[in-house]
Amino acid sequence: MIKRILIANRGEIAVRIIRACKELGIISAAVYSDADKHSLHTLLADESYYIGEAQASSSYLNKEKIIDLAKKINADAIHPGYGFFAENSEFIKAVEDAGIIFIGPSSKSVKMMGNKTEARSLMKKNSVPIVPGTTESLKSVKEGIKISKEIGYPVLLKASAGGGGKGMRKILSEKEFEDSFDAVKREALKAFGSEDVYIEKYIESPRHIEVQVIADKHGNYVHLFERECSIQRRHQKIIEEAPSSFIDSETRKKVTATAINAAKACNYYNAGTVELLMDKEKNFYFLEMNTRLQVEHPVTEMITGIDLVKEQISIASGNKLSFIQNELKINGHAIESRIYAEDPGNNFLPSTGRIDKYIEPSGPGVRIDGGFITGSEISLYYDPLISKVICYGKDRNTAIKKMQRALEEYHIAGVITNIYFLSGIFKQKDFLEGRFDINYIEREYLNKQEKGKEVSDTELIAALFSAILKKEAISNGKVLTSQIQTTMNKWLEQTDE
Amino acid sequence: MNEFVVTINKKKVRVSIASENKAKIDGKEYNYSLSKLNGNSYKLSVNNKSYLITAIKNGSEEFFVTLKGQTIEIKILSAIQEKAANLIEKTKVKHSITTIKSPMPGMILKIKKKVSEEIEQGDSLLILEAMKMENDIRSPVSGKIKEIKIKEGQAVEKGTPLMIIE
Repeated sequence: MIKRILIANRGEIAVRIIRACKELGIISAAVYSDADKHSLHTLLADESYYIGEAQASSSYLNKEKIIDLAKKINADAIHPGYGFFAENSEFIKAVEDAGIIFIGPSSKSVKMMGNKTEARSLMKKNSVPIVPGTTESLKSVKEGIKISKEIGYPVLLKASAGGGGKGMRKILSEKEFEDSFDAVKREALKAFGSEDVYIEKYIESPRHIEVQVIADKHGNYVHLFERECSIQRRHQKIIEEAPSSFIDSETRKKVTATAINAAKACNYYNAGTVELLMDKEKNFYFLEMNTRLQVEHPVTEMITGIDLVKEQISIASGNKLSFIQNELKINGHAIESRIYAEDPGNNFLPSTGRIDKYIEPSGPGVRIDGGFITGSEISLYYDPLISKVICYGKDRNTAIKKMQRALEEYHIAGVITNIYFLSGIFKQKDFLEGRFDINYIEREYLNKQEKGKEVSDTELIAALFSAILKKEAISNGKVLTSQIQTTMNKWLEQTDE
Repeated sequence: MNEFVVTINKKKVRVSIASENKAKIDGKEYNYSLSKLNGNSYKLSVNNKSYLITAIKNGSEEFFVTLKGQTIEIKILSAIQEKAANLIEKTKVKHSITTIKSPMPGMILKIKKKVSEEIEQGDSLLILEAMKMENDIRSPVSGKIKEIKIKEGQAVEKGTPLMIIE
């Protein structure tokens, strides 16, 4: 029986787990760093504990601090969320050794899937199709060039310990190889602590399809259908939906069976996701298995009615799955949009700062999983995800209509967000009709962004607004004529340069 | 006095505030009312449609205005200031200098150009590491590198000048 869970995470996922704990009558213990003093999870948890400086290695990624705290406060279990320690087999082993329940798979399963090359060879053995390429790390640039020639350019160079779009690069020709090799190695070492890299054939215009699986410690395996996550920027998902509009029931049978195979191959228990690349002919290849809860898990929850986080906790306690495969069916359609603090107009660079105003959408069929409020800080230390909006309706079109209006209801000021960029995607004919692949944003949408020679209605309102403010400031005497004079003199000085 | 020139995404809009609730934008008339909600947030109603707007000041002439999911950078001058600026512009010798500033806090991982190197718009200047990602900083203009103000391995704040291009 789990009585207290330490949540070793932050942001929206910490909030999501706290909510599950509360509904289960379990005490939730949150942790926070200097940068997260004003984040929502610290307010909603039954208990919150300060664990150190903003730098993740001093707080959310400090193994000793987290395990010591769990012991000190008598937490029976640790939920890692996603990112940070979620797929760190050493951490999981340390938790297991400390006699604390890890809410996730065993350290062994995580290790088997954690290294991409080992996972690829494990899948190959278990007749799960993999993308052509190496199943071992590259030893040298020379070897890499040789193999790339064999499988044919373009190829993808990827970090063996990678994920989340980091440590990955497309190489078009031999002359780009060495530079990319060094860059991916550098990024891999920084982000994952290992500089091992491997090669995969680059699949043209694939879709990203993934299957949610869940299993208990008694050997029961169930899938919760697929999600489509092809709308990505910088190789990171921003829009996800379930079910996929690209998949027919025959293909669904194949991919879900493959996913169950993959999970069985690593003796998996708890919630996990098998990611696949699917080409135009609906051939599919194993990409990786994420041995954790995923950012986009809510879309699956909406169409199946299963609470994945509660189920994770129940499985960790040693219970059997609360449902069987035959009880599950797809009900309706769900779409998620990720609201990031980033500037789509400037290569999606993260935007940091204090949130001056935060208002989120609501209403029928709209679910928000958020982690911040007015006054919270978006810092440079962590992922800039602010909030997720999940819309649910009887079919895809209904869910899209809800998303269009929900995105309009957000008001987030103080940091630049991608809300307007997302809204634009939900107006594209190709997106509405389900014609896209993982390169859709880079290839199509970014070019379609209006360069905007005409003044838009929004710009017009913004112009009027600032003129009114300026006028009020002048009438309140804040800007005197003499000050205007000073400004003019300043310009005159500048011209002498 | 109540006439302003607003620069918004490189476009210019002339706004004149006629009275408490009447304005003209590029000659077209609008009725408006503005009320403050709290902090920096306002409700602006224009011809019976209302907008929630949050404004963050960046000096007396620049704002960041958030509305309808967009954050827009705005520069506003009174008509008189604008006139003065135009006069100065005309007398100015054609000689433009662009300072590349760091878009966010981070660490300089690699500098890809040298002083006095000729560059094209879109060329990669340096790699800035932030949030565990390598961010490629590209040049917004073509020109020649006049000065490099940072070293590899240096930590920079948002807004730190990185390079000067002429």
